Amino acid sequence: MKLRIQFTKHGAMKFIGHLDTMRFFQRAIRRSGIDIAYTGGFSPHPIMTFAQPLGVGIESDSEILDIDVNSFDVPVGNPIKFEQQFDDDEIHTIREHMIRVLSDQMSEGFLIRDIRLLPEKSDNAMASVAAAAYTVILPQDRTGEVDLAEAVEHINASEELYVIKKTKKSEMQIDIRPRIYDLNYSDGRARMCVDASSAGNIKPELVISAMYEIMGADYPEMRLGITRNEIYGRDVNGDLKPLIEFGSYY
Amino acid sequence: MRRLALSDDILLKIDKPARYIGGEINSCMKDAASVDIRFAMCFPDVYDIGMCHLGIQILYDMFNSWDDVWCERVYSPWPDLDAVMRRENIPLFALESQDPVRHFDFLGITLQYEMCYTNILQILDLAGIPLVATDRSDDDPIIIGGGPCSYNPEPIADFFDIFYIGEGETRYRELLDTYKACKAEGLGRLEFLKKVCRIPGMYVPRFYEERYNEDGTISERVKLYDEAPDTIRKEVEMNLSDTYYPTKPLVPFIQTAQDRVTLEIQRGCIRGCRFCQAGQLYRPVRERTVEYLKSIAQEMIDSTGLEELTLSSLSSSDYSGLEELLDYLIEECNRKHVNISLPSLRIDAFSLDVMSKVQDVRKSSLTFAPEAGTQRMRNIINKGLTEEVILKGASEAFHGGWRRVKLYFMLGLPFETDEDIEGIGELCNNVAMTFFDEIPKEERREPVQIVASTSFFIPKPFTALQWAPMGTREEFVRKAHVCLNGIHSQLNQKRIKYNWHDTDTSELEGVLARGDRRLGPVILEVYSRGQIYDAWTEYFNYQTWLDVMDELGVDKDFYTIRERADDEIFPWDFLDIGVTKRFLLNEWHNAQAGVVTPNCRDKCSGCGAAVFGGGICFMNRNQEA
Repeated sequence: MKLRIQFTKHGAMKFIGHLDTMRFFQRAIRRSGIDIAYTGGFSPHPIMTFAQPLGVGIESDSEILDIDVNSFDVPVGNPIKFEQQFDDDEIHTIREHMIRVLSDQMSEGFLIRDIRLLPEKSDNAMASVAAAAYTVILPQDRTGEVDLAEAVEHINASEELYVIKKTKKSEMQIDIRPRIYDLNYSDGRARMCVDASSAGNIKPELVISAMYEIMGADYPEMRLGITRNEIYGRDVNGDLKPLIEFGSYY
Repeated sequence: MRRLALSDDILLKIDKPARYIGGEINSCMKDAASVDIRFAMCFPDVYDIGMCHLGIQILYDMFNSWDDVWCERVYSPWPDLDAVMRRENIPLFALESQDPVRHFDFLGITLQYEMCYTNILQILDLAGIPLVATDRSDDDPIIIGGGPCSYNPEPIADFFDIFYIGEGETRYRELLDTYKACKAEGLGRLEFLKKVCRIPGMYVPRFYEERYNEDGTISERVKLYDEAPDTIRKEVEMNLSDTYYPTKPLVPFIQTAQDRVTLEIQRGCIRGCRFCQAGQLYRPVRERTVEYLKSIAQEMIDSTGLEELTLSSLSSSDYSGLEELLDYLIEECNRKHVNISLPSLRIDAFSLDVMSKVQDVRKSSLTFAPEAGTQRMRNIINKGLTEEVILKGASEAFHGGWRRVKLYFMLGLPFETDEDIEGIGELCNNVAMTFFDEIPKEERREPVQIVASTSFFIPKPFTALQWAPMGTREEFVRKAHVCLNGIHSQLNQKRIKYNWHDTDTSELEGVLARGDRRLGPVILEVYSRGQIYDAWTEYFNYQTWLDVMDELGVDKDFYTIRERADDEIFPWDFLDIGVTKRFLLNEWHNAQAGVVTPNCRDKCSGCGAAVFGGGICFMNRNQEA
């Protein structure tokens, strides 16, 4: 059986890189007593897939992790380490119980939002990713003279948006406009929903630098405060739907 | 949310920011206002190394089990952050509270290797604490050192208020209670230290002075405070099955040098290898009971979720309950999908059987530590491993499917001849021959690989070889080439790979290991020229050390290549480890004569460690009775 876990990554946890986050969850799940399935061999490891790596320094309201479990068994009476998310009398279902035991194993900044059961034949988290929503906070003293609200209006009104994308080997011009699904800006804060699929992933910094470029300004060196708000897949109709909603309650 | 000492801007600019944020699973948070004593425990190297140290984990757990103490951790900032902290005047902070270390009551520094000495000064400097102990005021933390290098603390005596000699489980409570009483009475630093020096195991270096003969050797130690004891006996925890053990060890976010649950099965070693310092320092041998180990192993696996467990001891094969313990651990770990790693096992039928159960034979390698190439040399150092045993073990291993063998040796041992060095190549060749003789052609698809590694012998305090001269760098380089040529002249040389250890590092380690107080100013000056992280080849700069020694008139050869007279006073003679100098001197004479001394389980040789009234010294006597 496949479970889909939704968690947040805030505060100091934004400094934990992707591989370390994976290792953290492997250990947290082992401590929780959730009956995760393992690969075979001399160094067995728990079977889990993250939807998409999150860069160091970026926070998230909604990270997605799929795990395989052998059963719904969860030991009772795990010690509570951090602020309790639920009162014991609010726990009625196995799902709520699982959320509770895994929450107990989080360090400050990681929070388990939900755990859902995936249908038997669903795509894994990584293959399902279609889009992601981000909020980007720009440092106030750096936005300067450039009217970014106007930049966003330009982008939204145009059919194409060519940017230079640098890879390790080369630089190429690509049109990112079709991959920006939603973009708005006010008061130093940009919100966007962009392509996050493996073929067409767009980093939020790329959109911000395009906003400067379209206004004919240089992109200043600055540290953006980025939060990923949601990760989406596509439902049977092709519409964007939060990945967690592909799972059901149990 | 916890407030971090470093800004996001800094944390995102440096390598591995998770080294500095704390908040790991099982780290201990307390309310600073509700404790009496704040203790910062430091490993003066980078987080990735320091986090793996069991001793600190034991003390961290012990301190935090006391309501009136909050123990936090500190590691050396990596050079990238070091530069930022100096530029922006950011004081060194402890990981848990992220508060400046300067405001703590104690700063404990573990002394695991000599090459960390400049990092101690880095820690003090970044914390804003005066580097020299006697320059500190009542507001500065008490700086206390412990660990293996505290058995010759003299080169760094200037920088410490106290050295805790021995195992930490026994006397910290008394020390902290003394501190609280002094604070309540309003007594200052010096009055506190005067009380401390009367607690067993506590060495307060400022109450002593070294005097020297014209030839540079020590003429006497003079006490500057009458009440200070003449000798300080090491502290020993005699019941290792009823004491502190970290059953909820910290789980780091980033990958560290040894990311696993550590199960310390015993302390001490029955084998009296004459070069080995740990073998003498941690006598007598004391085992933890199998029952105790089973229960703490279980707890540690459950509380960490770590994927690997390892046994820790100087010689695991000598643990009397090994078979029962391993049977249990293999079953438990299998059930919980935890790997077992088994270092320091002697290669024999039993250990090969166990290893084949817990690791992929084809991918793992086997390790032998003959330490020397000929039996003559192995008798001198009392390494009771014969070529026959090695070849038998290798043969069994090859039949079991292993193809990779590592062999460890030392160069520069006392009374070594070129024949002994060439013996290393011969021994390696004989291991390869065993493979070709015994394994039929059709099973040789994966060829045998032998890796021989040599390090340079460094005489250490409290060993039988503490009187021995150490080789020079030039000799070491020559000997490494003799060894290499010896290997190249062998029939199976293509199957043998040879590595050797850096000579500069070895020489400096040799100077510091048997050094005295005259090296304090050298370390201080080297540090003030910007030198830190000497244990890391990319940052080690031997020229700076040579320049400073030259300018301050310190002769490195005095500490390294000089053979000591039998009656020389050593800088560490005032410490009492149980094992007597008389016994060690006798062992030095046995080494010269090539006479072997039996291990503690076969026969007591009267080393003196029986003075602690327990451990193997008494287990055997009871059996005889």
